[in-house]
Amino acid sequence: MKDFFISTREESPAWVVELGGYLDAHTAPQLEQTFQDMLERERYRIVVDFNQLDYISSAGLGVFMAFIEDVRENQGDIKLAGMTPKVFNVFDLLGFPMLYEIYDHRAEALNKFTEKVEDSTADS
Amino acid sequence: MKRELRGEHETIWGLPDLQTTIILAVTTFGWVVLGFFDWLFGFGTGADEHGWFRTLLPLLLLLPIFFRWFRPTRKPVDHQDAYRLHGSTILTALAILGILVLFSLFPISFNSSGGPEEFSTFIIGRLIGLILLCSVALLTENLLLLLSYGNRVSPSIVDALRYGLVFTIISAALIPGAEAREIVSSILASIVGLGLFLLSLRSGWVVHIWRDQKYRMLGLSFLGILAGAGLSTLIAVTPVAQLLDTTSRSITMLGHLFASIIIITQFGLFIRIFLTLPTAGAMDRRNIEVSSLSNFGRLMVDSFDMNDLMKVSVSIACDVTSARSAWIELIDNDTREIITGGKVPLNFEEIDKLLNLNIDGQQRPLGKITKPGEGVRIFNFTFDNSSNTNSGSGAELRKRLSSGSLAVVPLRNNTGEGGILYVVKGQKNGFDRDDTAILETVATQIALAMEHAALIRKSIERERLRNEMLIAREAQQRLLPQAMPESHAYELYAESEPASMVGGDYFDSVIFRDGTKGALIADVSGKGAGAALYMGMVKGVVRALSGICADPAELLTKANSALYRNIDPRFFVTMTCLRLREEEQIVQIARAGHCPTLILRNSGEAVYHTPQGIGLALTSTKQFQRALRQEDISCSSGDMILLFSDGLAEAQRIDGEEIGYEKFRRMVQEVGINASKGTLREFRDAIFAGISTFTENAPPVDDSTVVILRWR
Repeated sequence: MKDFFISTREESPAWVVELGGYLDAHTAPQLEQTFQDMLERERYRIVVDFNQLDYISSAGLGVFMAFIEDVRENQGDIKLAGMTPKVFNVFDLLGFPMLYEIYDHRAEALNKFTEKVEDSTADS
Repeated sequence: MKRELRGEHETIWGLPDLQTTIILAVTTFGWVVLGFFDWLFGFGTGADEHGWFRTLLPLLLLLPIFFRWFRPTRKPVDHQDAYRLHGSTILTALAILGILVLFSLFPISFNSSGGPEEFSTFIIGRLIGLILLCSVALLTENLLLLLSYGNRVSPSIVDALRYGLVFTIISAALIPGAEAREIVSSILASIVGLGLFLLSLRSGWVVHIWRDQKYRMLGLSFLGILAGAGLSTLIAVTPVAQLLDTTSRSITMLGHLFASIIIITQFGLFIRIFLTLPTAGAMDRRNIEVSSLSNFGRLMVDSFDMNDLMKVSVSIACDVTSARSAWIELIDNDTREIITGGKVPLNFEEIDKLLNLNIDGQQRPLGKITKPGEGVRIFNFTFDNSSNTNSGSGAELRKRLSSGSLAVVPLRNNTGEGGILYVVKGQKNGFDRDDTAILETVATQIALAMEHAALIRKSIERERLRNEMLIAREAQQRLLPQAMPESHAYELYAESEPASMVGGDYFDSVIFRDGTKGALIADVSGKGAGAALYMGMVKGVVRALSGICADPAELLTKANSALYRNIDPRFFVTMTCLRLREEEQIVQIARAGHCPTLILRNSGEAVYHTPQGIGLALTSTKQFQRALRQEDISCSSGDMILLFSDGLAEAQRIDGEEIGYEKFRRMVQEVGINASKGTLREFRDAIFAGISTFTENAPPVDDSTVVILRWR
């Protein structure tokens, strides 16, 4: 069992939150704190990279629900990327693909943000 | 505090036991009979004409002493007991002397034959004799008990003295011929007397009693010597002596002997105590230290009230250093608590004043100097008259304490709760090396006691929580239906086992609007108490919707509107709902994010069924409804449908390896082939046994729930 870890960094135009290890009821508060910090600093464009995450429990899933509304109200989004089949299966059973944009790779998710930024600048 | 340290004062001089009482009663009776005969034959006669039985009767009383039948008091068990025994023995001797002196004040006159002239004189003589007899017997035994306590001589030496005493008396009374009698009895008496004196000198226990008790004992020994001398004089010189002689010669002799015993032993004790006086102060302190530390031990076992503990700690710190005031400052995160005590407890203002002084060239106020984890530090302080002259409490403190020394002792503690002990003495450089050492020890003890108290508090709290969780578990078990409905067309069986005390899994049976029956399984995200609370809420929602929904899809949709935005956004609920159309053997199924449903055909094949649907409370009802797909599954006799919670398919070994959905499906398919004959309960047991085989009996990490349907 690997320890849970979070790392965040800016990859313009969004912020990437990389997760690794086990995300369960014990480690979920750490992720919650991370999102809290992001929102306080008004970072609303977030890509969560699950590349190195081995396991996610229902308590871990709940964290995403707690913040998505706030993020979307501020014209941002949480996009999910890089899930292993096992982690994707958990999200899929719950119907997350209908609630979130889920991509195979982080780059795709970041591209989506870039397109949107260009759209909005084109509109204005 | 000192009083507490010394322990309870209980009397050592109880009533004599039955044996002693009988011996004394028999003696008294004999004495009265003897008196009766004396009276019959003319108020007794002169001393020379005593019958042998008059001499012998008092001596009979020596037999109990000889054989140690007397138990007037219990054996002293500690120094305090021995101290009390000494005091009560001497006081009793003084009282007896007083009574005898009172009797001797009566007018005593004798007739020509040497007997008492008046009947009243006769009675007084007999009474004095009786009192002497009994008190000699009892007090001699007491003094012997006292000498045998704490003396590291062998008991046989004390016994030898005891026998020597008896032989002295017998020889003095019975050896014929005055010269021989005198020589033998004086030699014996000298040997016994010397032995008693040496034994009294060896009473080492007097070193260990308190200083004030030593002074008191010194006085009592002196009084004891006076009492012995007084008694001797009374029965030798005054008319009482002649009066006693008319009763029995041995009485007078016993009286003298007893007086000598008192004088010798008390003189020995007097010298011994006198020699211990110079070290009495130091001894006192050592005693306090020892008993303080042992008190701490008791305190740690008895008390987990932090305040009580600190109060006692403060006074112990004062006792061991003979300081006037002390206080403990408890530092717990941001809160600061002060427990003050001692002979002159300082109030909080005074403490603050003291802590804000700049002491002995220290640049910072005292309050900032010490942190937990450092050693003992000693400071001298003086209240500067030029500053703060008008502030009330400062002036008050100066009146009570113009200068002095202060020891600052950090309390080391592993649990992180720290504190500082401050001890104040009224003179500068008041703390010596011993004080510092003992304060270190006391500080360690206080810290240990604090830690112990904290641990006990925590374990009580844990026990309380456990009990509450047990109650919650029972309450939650009652939320689950005790039996599932059955009909001629199908059987239903369901069971749930939480992984911890309480869980978030739920199952129930429902009725739809047209009267058809159904079953559902639900799982609140997370585990434990939070999940359990929402599980109760889900049950409420389901019960409210039962009977008013047309089909599973409607029930799930309505449940979503009831829950969405009504529970903590971090929580969600997954649910699968079945509606059983008995006539057509069709199962209508809708799934809200729950794990797949396993369908076991009567052919032995097991397949997952996962209609589309989002978990409850995750999104708006509009979006939820758009995503939800309800499906019909046509069944035939013997087909089974297994609803389960993810705790089963995601059961893990200790090393974290999961059984997974595919292995779980194959395992259920295997045990399902045999299950067609048995009951559904047996089928459930077989599934759980299969999981245990895989997990190698690892404790489940998630709640495990099954709902099994079988068409007849």
